[in-house]
Amino acid sequence: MTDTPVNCSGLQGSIEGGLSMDETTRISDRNFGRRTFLRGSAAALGLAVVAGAGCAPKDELETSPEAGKPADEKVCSGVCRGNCFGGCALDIKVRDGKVVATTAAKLPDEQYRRICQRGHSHLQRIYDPDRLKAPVRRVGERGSGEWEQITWEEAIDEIASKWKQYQEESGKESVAFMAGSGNFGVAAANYAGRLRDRMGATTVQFCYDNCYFHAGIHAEGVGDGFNSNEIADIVNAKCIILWGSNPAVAQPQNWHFIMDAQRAGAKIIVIDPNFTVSASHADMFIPIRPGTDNALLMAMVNYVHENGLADADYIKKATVGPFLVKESDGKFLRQSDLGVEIAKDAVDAPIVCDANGNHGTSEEVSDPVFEGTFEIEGIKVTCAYTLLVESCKKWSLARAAELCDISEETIGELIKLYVEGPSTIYQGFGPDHYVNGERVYFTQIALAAITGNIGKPGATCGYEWTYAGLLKYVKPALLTPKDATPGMTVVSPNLLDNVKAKEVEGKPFDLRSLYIWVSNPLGNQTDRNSWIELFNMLDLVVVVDMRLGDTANYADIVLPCVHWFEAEEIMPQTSPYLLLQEKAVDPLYESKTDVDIVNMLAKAMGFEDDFSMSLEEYLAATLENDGAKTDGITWDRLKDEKYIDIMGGDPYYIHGGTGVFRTATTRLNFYYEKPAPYINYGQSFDVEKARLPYWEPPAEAWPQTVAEFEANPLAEKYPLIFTTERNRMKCHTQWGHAPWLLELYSEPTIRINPNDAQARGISDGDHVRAFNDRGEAVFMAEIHAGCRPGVVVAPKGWEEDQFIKGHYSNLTSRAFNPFTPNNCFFDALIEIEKA
Amino acid sequence: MRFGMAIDTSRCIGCHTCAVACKMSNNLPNDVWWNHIKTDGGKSIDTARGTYPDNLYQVYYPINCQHCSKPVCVSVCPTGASIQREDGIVVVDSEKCIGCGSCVTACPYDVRVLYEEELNYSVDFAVGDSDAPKHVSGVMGKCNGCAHRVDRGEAPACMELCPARARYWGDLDDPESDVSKYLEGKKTERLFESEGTEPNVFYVL
Repeated sequence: MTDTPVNCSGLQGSIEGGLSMDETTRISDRNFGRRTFLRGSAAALGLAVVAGAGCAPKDELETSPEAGKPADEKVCSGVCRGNCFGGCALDIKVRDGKVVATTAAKLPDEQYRRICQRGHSHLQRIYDPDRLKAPVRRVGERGSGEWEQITWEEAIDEIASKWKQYQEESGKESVAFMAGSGNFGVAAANYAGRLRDRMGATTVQFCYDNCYFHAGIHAEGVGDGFNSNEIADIVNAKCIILWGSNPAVAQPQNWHFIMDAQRAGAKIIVIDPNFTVSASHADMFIPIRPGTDNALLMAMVNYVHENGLADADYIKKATVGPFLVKESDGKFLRQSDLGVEIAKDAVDAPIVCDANGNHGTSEEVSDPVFEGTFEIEGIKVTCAYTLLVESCKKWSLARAAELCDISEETIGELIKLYVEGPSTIYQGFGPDHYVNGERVYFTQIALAAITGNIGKPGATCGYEWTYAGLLKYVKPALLTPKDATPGMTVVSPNLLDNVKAKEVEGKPFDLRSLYIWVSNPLGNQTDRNSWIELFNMLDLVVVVDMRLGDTANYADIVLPCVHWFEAEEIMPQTSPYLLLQEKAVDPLYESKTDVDIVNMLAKAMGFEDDFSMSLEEYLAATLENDGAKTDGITWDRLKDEKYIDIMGGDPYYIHGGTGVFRTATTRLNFYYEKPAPYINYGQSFDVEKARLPYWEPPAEAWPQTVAEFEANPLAEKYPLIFTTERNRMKCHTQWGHAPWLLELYSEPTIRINPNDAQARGISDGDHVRAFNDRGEAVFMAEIHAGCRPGVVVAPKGWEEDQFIKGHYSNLTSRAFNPFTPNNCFFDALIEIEKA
Repeated sequence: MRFGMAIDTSRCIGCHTCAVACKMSNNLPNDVWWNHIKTDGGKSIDTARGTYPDNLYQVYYPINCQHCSKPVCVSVCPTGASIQREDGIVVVDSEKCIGCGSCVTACPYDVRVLYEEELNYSVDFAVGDSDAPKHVSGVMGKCNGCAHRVDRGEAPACMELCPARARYWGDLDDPESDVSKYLEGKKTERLFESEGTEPNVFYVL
């Protein structure tokens, strides 16, 4: 922005060693003056004038002191529902039938009042000049952007008649449905799944964040905060580890809790390869080598054990530590192994043993041992805790220090702070994005379990996104059609290979049509070119979206859906309140709700009987269940109150605070007796390996030889690890074309360490080509001293039309660990050159 | 009475919520921003300077009109269009402004923008507050302290909800105001103090 010399003396900061005055006094700027992505003027909008959508008046409206407020201005309740896990309750101001502002709803608990730069920009998505106005059919090559407008009747008839034909010719599973996380509203997210299951069609699982989900569910069990204490409890922590997590950018709604904790004396530790915005506020930044997190965790477990820092009482009480693993089959020794008759429907309880050799169930043996190998009635067994620590034994601090590129002293300090506690591990999705990611979450939970840093105020290990609504009150799954015969499940990173091979793990698979809603895989999933190749092999791709975004642009038929504020909804997750979306304005153009679209398709398919519910009837029905009934939650009550506090706890919900976890053993599992893949599509995986922690290098992103782990030879051609991060101005690809946000951040950029840039002759602001064997993308380079040498970071969410050339998703790989099918976004190597 | 702000740089994450709230509420034209979020770090926004990994620096400075106690923009204005209200808020009377740009040159904070001849908007209806200021082409635009909100007892749009809880506002002359209480005992800086403008935005360090 400025040519004015900035001479404010206070900006020196506190870097030891000092920097030149020129560097210390600059207030930097990127975007002002570069606004090339601004769209056409308002005159080109041609907006339809609509009026008449109803929302109930709120008390505050009547008492609003706003002077000169027009008579037809009203405020509706609503909620932001993208996959940032914000779940922000909003007040939507409507004037002359149009949304003119969005502000944070004044929830009773001030700390949960939320909004962000995107939340303030909703009206730019509603009144987007490129909003899809009517159904369209492709007339040119895929991706050419050539379309003809068709009527809803034509669109529905064509889709339904082709689906009938495909299912008759090629089997029911020749049609597949794929959702994503583009709308967390209960109707939008779930209703199309009813049709899929009624049709017997295939489910394509979208597969992201699954390393986190997998370990969270199986090792820790889910509760009201999914696998974590309520976020507000973090103020009780004395040590907070933001592990591969950057809430300052990715979850701004949570940041103030972390800052409050810091002010109350907590040490904030960031473990990340790159110096993030969160790291810039931390007390300790641990710059880990990418993809080595589990080696660090195993060293921590090992050190805790070797130095007598484990919490014996907690291990005995709340973990599988004292359970006895049979040498013969790796399963827990249970009552039936000792000849006890197990009554029908009774639990075949695991056996534990005390120091005197008395054995029995954990109810019978009050003070079990959790270490050692011995025989019980001739059966050789080892305590699960012993197997855990033995699996970590070779990870000395020195070995982890070498592998992770962190000093032993730093690891020692980390362990000291963590063990002292109470400590919170705030899980993030950095480690999730490597093929070896699942064990990171598994071992984090193991570490928390053996140090007792779980189930107490300030002590938790997870990522909090309030789950109470889905767990207790909102039950879309109960509304499966009575004649449903669900088809097979496949996983998104495998889909192209399945279609090419015409089989899924030996089962025939002849996919001909794909229906995609609340999802934009070509903009968000790995290996974009594989998706285009996939689409080219299909007969009919149908996409439901508000605009012709990356995926819609390659479809055969695109159906226009409503904006979030144009229909009623229930938001059941990510907020401690169950939230109502009122219909603030009428749907623009010919856009329809997912419920209406699916009902039309179902009727054309001949399933009218199961699909006669209106949107409102469906929403009301999702709240008709025992859990909601018990706590007096109904659709009418929600409509009346707009938000209902559903988070238990006094004052805050504590995950596992009762000492009981919703796992297979009701305890914290750091030994998997019966390892199960996260999504079972019939794949095989190494069962023995899946029981305990282990570390192996990432599949691709291992560019240097460290210890005995040899570099990926691909690094000779492509030496840089390609990572992405949340783009502040988008939620994945949503808000990607909001003009205000594009004024602030106008084109795809890639951040690079100064030394890596210099070696390639790259300066700040240069356009650079990033490439590997999978594809390429052109970005503007930004020199960032906080980038780890050898690692680049591209804020994500840009779409094809915003790149000079290529797309960031061309660079990423579809490789994954079959135990945890996932999009492994960071497990990729590239090279960069000046464009 | 002297309205002012505290912005806590130890909490700010550079999210731009304040800037977009202002843009929305005040119905600002395309390319016009009354709040700028600066990174004191690398050359680009959201980047650090220094040396990886132990010697890195990156701090955010949201910068809007500082509503100075000695506003140089007011003293240089040849027509009396730039004025300071009794509550300290500095505003521009677009009827009197001739768009000469003297204040742009004089202001050290680079927060004034001379509106172009043609003002465009991303939608064809007025958004934000129903009484948002009118934007007049060819004259000076700047943060007006949300005077229309302040006059009815509300906080400026940028102060409504900061995700990081880094922004505080109120009467600096009133020790009981939110801003005075937040500033109490905290180390702060003001920008360009050497210019003698006595800005009323305090950056908490």
